[in-house]
Amino acid sequence: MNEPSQFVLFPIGRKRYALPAEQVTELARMDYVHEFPLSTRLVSGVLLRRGDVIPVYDVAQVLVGDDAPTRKYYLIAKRRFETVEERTAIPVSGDCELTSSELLPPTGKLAEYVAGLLSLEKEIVEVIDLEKLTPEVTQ
Amino acid sequence: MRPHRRQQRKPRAQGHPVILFTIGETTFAIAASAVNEIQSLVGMKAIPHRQFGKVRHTLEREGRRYWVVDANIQFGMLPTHSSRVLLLNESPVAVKVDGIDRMTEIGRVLPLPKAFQGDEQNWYAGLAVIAGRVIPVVNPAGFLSHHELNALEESEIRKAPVQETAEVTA
Repeated sequence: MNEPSQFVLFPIGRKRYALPAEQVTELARMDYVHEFPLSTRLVSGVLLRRGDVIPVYDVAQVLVGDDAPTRKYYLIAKRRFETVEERTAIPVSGDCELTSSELLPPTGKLAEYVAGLLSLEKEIVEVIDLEKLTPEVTQ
Repeated sequence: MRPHRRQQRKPRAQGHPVILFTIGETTFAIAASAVNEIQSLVGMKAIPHRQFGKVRHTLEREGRRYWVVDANIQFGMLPTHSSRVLLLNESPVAVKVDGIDRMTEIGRVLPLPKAFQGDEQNWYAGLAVIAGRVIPVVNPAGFLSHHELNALEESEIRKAPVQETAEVTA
């Protein structure tokens, strides 16, 4: 049995997903999204936080489709691009929670972006691999 | 005495002069040094056989032909009301935009986030923060590639003898 690791659970609609806790830097209130023409899939604009520009990834489009609920917060997480690490803002629809659990390997026909599963008391939560969720595909 | 006084002045913070232009409700910046002239749409000639959807007109200015790029098409934006053309310095390219907002100075150009993986890598040289707004700074070389420019120039060369013949016949 593997050692339990820490994960941040975040809701999008009725379902909760998870990211490894070391990947998450902060939870932020909804803020103004600066929009301009972009062609990267899922990127809807950028946030300006303390002088830093943070791209906004609207992952709900992939996770729950067009019925994505109103988002309330941004989960700000780190993404790695070769040698460079960059923060990205993920709009989520409710409160987030830190949990400690063993990462189970994905089973069955799960989407490619599911890095593993967390078996919690009342639910099975998919752990998201941001790199696979946000492929470098243009719209 | 004057030179001495000049030496004592505090150096001013180096800013980058930019021209802010608009397309619809979006504001863009372009380095002022990249723009030769700004003018109205008067004098634009439609290209009968378009090679590239974004280039629909040419413009002659002081004996030089410019290929006019429709910025709406370049950036994938819905059509808006264009009223100005920016004639670029380094290439025979002009950019049709809605209007000019103003000229200003920006402190620094922030690099594009690595998360931007699409065409915007070519469209923009970076991002600037002006009065709390994030403004994309366009890359002047991103409007038409060398390949596109060569193709347009070659099409004109191929067309030229046909026009001469037509004139002689007439």
